[in-house]
Amino acid sequence: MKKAYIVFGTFILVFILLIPFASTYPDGLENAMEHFSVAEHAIYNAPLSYGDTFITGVIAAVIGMAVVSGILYIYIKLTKKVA
Amino acid sequence: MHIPDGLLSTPVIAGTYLITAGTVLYASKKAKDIPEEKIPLLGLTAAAIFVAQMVNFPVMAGVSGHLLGAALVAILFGPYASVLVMTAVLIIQTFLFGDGGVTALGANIFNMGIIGAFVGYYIYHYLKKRSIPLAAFLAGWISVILGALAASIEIGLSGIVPFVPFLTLMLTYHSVIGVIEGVLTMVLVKALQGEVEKESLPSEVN
Repeated sequence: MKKAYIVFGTFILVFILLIPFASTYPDGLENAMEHFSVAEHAIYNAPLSYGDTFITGVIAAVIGMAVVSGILYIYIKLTKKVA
Repeated sequence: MHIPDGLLSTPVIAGTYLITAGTVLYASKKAKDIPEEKIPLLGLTAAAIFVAQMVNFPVMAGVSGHLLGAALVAILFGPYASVLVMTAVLIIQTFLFGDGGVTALGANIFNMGIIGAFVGYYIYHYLKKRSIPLAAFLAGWISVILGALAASIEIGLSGIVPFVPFLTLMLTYHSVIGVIEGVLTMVLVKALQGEVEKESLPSEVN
């Protein structure tokens, strides 16, 4: 199990270092939407963004990772307790 | 592949929310089978999926794609744990970062989480006797293609695009994007191969 921590820890570090090299091309769905002139209609303003520099990108990643793993951890602990 | 707000019709929104809510509820019931000592690792894995989805790779001129991760998590921890990981990732992406529409959340969890979790899991387990790397590659690759197929059907059913041309374009893009998913799934499953067997949950296939 220790190996899994090392593998996923390394995985996270590698992807954090890749953040500044992320492609700015639209993704497959966005490109297909543009192709057929379909636009989104936002109905919700999110408080954060993924950032547009390396530093803001890393901050976004750290916040996102902390919240995602925290919520999942608490949720599974609670559902186990209820069960 | 995050569907934004404004694309899906009300029946599609309702249908996808219903299917997703039912599946997430069932996966939550199954969460009691996740061994206590594996919960922190699952949290770390969810963090890894979140950061991986932030990084888009260029796949052809003007098109990029990112990892989904559902098949990978399902192979390592079982499909129900994978559904919960992907749900957590997508909820935070939607509400904190505005990635994916609020009305499309049910569809996005279904397309990128639920499909990948179950399809990826079963493809891997049926094919792993032949070849573990091939099984892992196909699990990742096909999960992306089927996710794109589902997204296209949902958007097509909402009546805002010409169905077949949209579907064709989506499948073309995602059959290429999925190759990256397949390769990374293969590399990570191979790296954790010894662990994977040990990590298997007893009730995965129930």
